[in-house]
Amino acid sequence: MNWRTGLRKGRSHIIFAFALIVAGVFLIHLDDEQLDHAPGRQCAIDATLPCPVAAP
Amino acid sequence: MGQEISVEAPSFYFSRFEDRRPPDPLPAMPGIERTWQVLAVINLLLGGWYIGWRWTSSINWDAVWFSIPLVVAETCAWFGLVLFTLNLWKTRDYPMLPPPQTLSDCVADAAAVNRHLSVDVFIATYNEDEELVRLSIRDAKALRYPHPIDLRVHVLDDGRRATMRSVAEEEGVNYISRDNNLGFKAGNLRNAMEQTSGDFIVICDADTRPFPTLLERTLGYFRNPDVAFVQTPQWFYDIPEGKRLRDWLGGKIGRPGTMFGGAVEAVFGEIRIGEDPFVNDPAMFYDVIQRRRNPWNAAFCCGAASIHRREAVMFVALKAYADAISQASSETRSRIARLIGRKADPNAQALALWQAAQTEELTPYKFHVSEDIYTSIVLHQDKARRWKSVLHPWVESKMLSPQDLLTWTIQRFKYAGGSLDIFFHDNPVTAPGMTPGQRLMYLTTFWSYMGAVWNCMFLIAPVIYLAFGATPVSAYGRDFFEHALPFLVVNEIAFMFGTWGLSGYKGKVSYLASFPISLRALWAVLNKQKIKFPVTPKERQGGNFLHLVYPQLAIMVLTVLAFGWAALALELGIGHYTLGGLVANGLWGLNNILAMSIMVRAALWQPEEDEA
Repeated sequence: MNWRTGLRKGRSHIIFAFALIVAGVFLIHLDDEQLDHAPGRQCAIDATLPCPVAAP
Repeated sequence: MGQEISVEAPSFYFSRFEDRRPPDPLPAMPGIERTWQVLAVINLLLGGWYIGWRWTSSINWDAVWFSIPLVVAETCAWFGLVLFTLNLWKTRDYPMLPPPQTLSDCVADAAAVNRHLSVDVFIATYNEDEELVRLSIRDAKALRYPHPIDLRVHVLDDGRRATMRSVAEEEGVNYISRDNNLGFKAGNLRNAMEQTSGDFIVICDADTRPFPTLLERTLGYFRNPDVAFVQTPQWFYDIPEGKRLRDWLGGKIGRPGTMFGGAVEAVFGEIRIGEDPFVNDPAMFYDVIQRRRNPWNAAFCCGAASIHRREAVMFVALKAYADAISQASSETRSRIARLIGRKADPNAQALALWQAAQTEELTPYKFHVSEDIYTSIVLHQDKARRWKSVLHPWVESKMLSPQDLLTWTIQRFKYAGGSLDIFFHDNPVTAPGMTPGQRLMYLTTFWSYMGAVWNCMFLIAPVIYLAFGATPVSAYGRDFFEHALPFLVVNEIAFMFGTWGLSGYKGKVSYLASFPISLRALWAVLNKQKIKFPVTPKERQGGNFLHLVYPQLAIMVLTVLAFGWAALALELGIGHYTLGGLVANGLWGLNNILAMSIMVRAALWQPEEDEA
């Protein structure tokens, strides 16, 4: 069985993995954005410290 | 007798599929297998890391009623993943050996009788169309063998039909019946065993149509005197093929549809609409799951299309007989001891044994809905003999698939109920005898049926969040996705290589969507209800089957309603919803809806001729 056939048969796995990555990246971005806009937000480098500079 | 082959079989719905041929087994590909094994290990480690994080750092203690059951469900599913990975670890087929010439080629004792082999083909029937059985008889008679062989075909008619007897006589084969239906199929087979004497037995259902090569390609395995049975893959030659996407869209909206469908297929490959609506294709089960149990010597018998060494079947019967006598006689001994007030009286023991031997019956096939798995378990448990089971990877027969959701449901309920009944009442995983590998493989089977319990949790979890705003994790944030995503993505890629050459999507969603059947079976077994074993109909049942998918419909409707409410609540600032939670659970719910929709579509499915 060649690679092309194998990949075609297994395309549902590839599509699902791709959808997971896209959705995951989107949700992480969303979460970061919300944190950036949250009052009293904390620094991404050290979550225990408040950020010294306000976000642009 | 006398009119052999002169009767023309009528036309059936499946007559037009007569020329279909089964696919070859998946080729062994060492590179793909190594890739799968590496990815599988990474997958399990990532899964373990995720589960560990879930237990230690992510539980939402404000909604413990929700978060704890979900993390328990995830842990159970991960354990199932470990078992399934072990099952799929490697493919190692038994070498096909040349067909034996005489009986002495198949037994340990070289001084055994040096005569040619004798084979009984059992075609078990109850109420199936006699002309359907005639087709099976004819194919069984056409079995070929390169050496002289004593081949006898027997129709085992539990329906006691004169018409069936006539068909058997017309075809020149033996007709066997009995005056009761005790034990259903198992009883039918037992009755036939008492009246036959072949060295090997081929078990066929009424619709099992063996290919001419069945014996010449499988009896070679019995050169190893420890091989008890050979299971061949079941293959349904009547599975609807559906329509190509471009043709289907073209039929709906004309030329634009054809062009759009063609473009989609050019990117993603051939897509078929309406193909195998009941997800009956058993390739995943036989060519992957069962075949990869060969290295563990744990492939189990599935009834039809299997070949058995009579000695092994009788071994199972004698063992069951001895166990029954032992148990019954010990009870009798206790009673005698109480009566005469003495212990260990040899005369009392002999009397008890004699009484038990008179009462108990020699039963070649246990009267159980899953008598085939039971037989496999008893053989695998015997430490002294160490019987072997073989999954022969080539399809050697064709049969009919369930053609409606009711028939499909009956069949799946029997599988689930039978397996769970064994698990709860005669658990081979903890009983003595089997090797660790065999125990793990049987546990994999039982665990997969238990999976309905945690699948329920995965189906209702997004509904709970969307309806009530309760989160099972401390937050749907970066931390969660950084732990969950690597595991979920690698899991998909790993199983693409693990099942290389087969599409896993339908099997996966069918497993998720069949939760009501497994739950009902589990409920029946836990309540000690007897799992009945009615004959699975071979013809399409008429009627509306939507009532069979009410639970799946409920999941779909509840998910949509809950999503609508959550979106509105987020917009209005009601409750503790977040956009991340809404999107994550919305996508999770969408996945569930797509899975459930497979069963709903199956309930509404009509064969092509009905559509016209």
